[in-house]
Amino acid sequence: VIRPGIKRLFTLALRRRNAARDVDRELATHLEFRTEQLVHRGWNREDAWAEAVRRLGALDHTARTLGSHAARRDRRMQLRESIADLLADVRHSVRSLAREPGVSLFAITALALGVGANATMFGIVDRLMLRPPAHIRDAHAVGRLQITSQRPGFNEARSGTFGYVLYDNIRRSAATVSAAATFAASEVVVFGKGRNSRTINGAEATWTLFPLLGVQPELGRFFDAKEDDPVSPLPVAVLGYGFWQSEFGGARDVIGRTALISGESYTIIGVAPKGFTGPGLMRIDVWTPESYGSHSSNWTTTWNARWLNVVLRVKDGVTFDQAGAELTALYKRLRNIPDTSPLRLSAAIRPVTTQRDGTQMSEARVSKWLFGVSLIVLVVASANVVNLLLARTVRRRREIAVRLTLGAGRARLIRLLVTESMVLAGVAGAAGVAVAWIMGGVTRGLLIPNVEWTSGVADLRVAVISGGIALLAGLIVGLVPALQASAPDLTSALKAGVREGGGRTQRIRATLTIAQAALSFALLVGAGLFIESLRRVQALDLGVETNRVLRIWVQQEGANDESFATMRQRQSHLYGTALERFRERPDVESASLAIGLSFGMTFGDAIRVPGMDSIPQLKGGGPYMSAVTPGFFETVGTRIARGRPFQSEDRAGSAPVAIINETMAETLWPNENPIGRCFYVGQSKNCATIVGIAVDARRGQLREEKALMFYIPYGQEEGIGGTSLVVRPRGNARQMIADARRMLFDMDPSITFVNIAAMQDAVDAQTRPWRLGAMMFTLMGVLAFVVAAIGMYSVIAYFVANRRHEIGVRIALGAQARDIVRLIVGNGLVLAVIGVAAGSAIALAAARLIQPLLFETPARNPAVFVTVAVALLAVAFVATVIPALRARRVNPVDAMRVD
Amino acid sequence: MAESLPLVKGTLDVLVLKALNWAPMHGFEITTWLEDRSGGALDVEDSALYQALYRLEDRGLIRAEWGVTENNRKARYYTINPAGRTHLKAQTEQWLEYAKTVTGVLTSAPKRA
Repeated sequence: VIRPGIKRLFTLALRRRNAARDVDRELATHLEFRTEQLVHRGWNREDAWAEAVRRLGALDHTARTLGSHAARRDRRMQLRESIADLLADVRHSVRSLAREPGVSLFAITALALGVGANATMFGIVDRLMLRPPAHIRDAHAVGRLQITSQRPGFNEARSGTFGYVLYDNIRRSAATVSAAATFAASEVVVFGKGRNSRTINGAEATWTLFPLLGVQPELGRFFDAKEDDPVSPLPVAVLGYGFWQSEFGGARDVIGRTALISGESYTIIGVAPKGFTGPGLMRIDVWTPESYGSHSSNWTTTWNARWLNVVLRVKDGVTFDQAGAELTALYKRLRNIPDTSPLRLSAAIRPVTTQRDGTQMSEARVSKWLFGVSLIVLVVASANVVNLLLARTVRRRREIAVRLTLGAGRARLIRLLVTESMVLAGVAGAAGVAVAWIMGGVTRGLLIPNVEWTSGVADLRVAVISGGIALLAGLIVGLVPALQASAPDLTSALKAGVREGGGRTQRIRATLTIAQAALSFALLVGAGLFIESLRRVQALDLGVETNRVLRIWVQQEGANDESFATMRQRQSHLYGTALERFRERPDVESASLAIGLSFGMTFGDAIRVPGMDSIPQLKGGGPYMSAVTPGFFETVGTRIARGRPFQSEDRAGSAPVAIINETMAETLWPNENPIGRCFYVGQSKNCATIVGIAVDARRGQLREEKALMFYIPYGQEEGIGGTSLVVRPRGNARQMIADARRMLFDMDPSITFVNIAAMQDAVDAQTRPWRLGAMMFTLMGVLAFVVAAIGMYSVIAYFVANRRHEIGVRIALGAQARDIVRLIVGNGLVLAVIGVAAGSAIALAAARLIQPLLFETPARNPAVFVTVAVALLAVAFVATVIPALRARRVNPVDAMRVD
Repeated sequence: MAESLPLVKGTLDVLVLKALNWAPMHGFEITTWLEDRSGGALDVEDSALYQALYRLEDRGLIRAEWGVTENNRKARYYTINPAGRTHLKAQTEQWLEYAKTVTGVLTSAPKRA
């Protein structure tokens, strides 16, 4: 019995018909029959024809009505038929996939992981790089100001933050710019008071920001020129959508209520729309007028304070370059920089998504790479699936040959095979979205936490992209074996045994295996490089043991009429009490106070050294200073290289002393002992005697230029303020945070806000790109590697199965098991070695590109290459030795009896 | 054939189905079948027949395929579908009921109230 599906293969050619022609032909036949009948009854032929035509009525009209009827029906039939065909094909595919569940499951898993990795990375790249921040109208015309300057002999310096005065001038006089605004975001804005207080993300902006971006409020309104007036600003606030939801339950009557922000009462006048992050990507909980911020009295006119991002919208038809040229000229004019100045200076407008120094976020750059990497994973996975399907079609060559002989067209057959792979890909695509959902959540949460993800991890764009990728992969992985299998010469397969005629397929499979090995090698080298970078970052001697130290800020309620001096006094008393409390705790190793702290606030001041005309300017800037209490160095873990640390006698009013860092010692007193020498700090009349030399400590960056730095006793400082309490707990520093917070609130009821953070947090934020790279590269590299290893195993296993006959003959002729294993393993290792060679070539070629992303690790690090090569060859060995050992057990009699 | 009966509206479809229920036929065969069965009493317009055939095919009650006649000539053969059979049965019953009723009314003797 021939199954309906098979029968359809034969009638397929007849289906194609022309409805109108059918009607004509049918009516013509009818006329002939009728004429014949009448002639038979005794009519003459001419009359009979006329009568037949008459009976058909108006022939043309009849034909036309019938024709259109028929055409309509045919279209419907064809549609129904192709749907039925498709369903039959899909059913057939599902059946044949289910027949080999292992193969299908592996193929689906491999593709799903590949698709999922792609979708994840696409989602991230899409947010970080492709899409402008939400709610910006005509975002291509909106940019961020950046000024690049270079003094002769110095590195290029890029600045992305400026004073109000520059913004004001651009807004008034730049002809190429239609609007200007400023924006300054902070992650440590205090919300609320006392025990319930906490930090939120806040942004100060000029009122011009909102019309510039073209954003509409969700509720109420944004602040206007009057509320942001530099002379008489008003305390008004606009809430971020998420904050409004979480803090105010999305209440619509929130307008007019007050919120305690940074200790002041602000009136809520509006709510920003969902996902609005201004020109950045960071979540913003509350927007306040720039003018209401706490500023110095001359803040609108001074060129010395720079803290504002300047956002610009260029006029229609003006390019960023044209606007940049005008702004360069404007800036030079404002600062009185003549064209003859050796200072090279240029202003430019950068896309809003770039960070302050004008470069893309490092996460974005790493993500871009990872997107490419995930594509490679997909290629490896697809190559593997092609490999599996090739093996499968070879196993099915008899079935295919039978179909071909029975008259199934090649196109029909290809369609059937491609449908199979599409079904595979469809399932894999759906699973891929699930993978993306999990992977995306993890990646976003752990590695890129600062960005406001306006969309879900697997939004429509991601789903569409994954679907597209999956289907494309399905098409390709299906088409290759299908074209192979349906090649005309394959009919000879009917006659030949299964083991013959595999030469071409075998070559394709070998090439695919090499490609997989090469690509996974390259990925693993990438992973190795990132891991090495991360290791070096983490092993970096920062000069301070950031992972052991907590940094604490405390604020307390002040009386309105209090003078600055009494406030300072009260604060210093508060910090002093807190310091004692911490020192008394048994779980605290040591504690100290500091003004000016690594990975916190840094202060600079001029110094004079008796006998020196000038102090050399180092690239790192400076000199920087900190005022610290005794115990500071052991608390933060900065080693005193020579001399002594501060003691309790070094305090306000005592003889001025100082500890300098090694760079300062080497720069100012090379080849001599600086201890005992002295220098003047700022305007001080007393020369501070150097009592010790501390090792260099980082100021705030993992990579930074050396700079002069010195420490003076807490209390001897002049003109700087802003105390931090640093605590070194005995155990895990972070575990003490909650307890420390409670202790401080219990200690003094006037405390309004406590901020405790592990010093390590600031470091972690900076190591994030490498962690992102190390984790994702490793994940994807291992993924590709496993897939490739299984691919290699399957190729060798297939090779063995295919040559059972030959192996049987060899064994019969007296070959040792050892020889058989050697033959097969050798075959596999050749593929692996070629793969490693090709992979090295790829990795070496890509080295130059990836170098900027690494941390003090050469991209052509031989150790990484060798390690990965050894690992890959070892796994290749295992993957080939298993089927090889199986081959050893081939029974020659059985093997030769087959076929 | 001037004495032939005009076709009552709507009956042609049933008649065609009846013919095809007998055996697959091409269009001309159906006309001759109808003529034979009615003793030449039914006057079926050829154009109306074809419209009926296409209509029935459209409704999925019959299907058509090109075939070969006994004299080796190509013709379009119509075959009744299961749906057509059901339809025929229902229509036949309805028609008989209708005919019985109408006949009853027309042939009953007038009664006095």
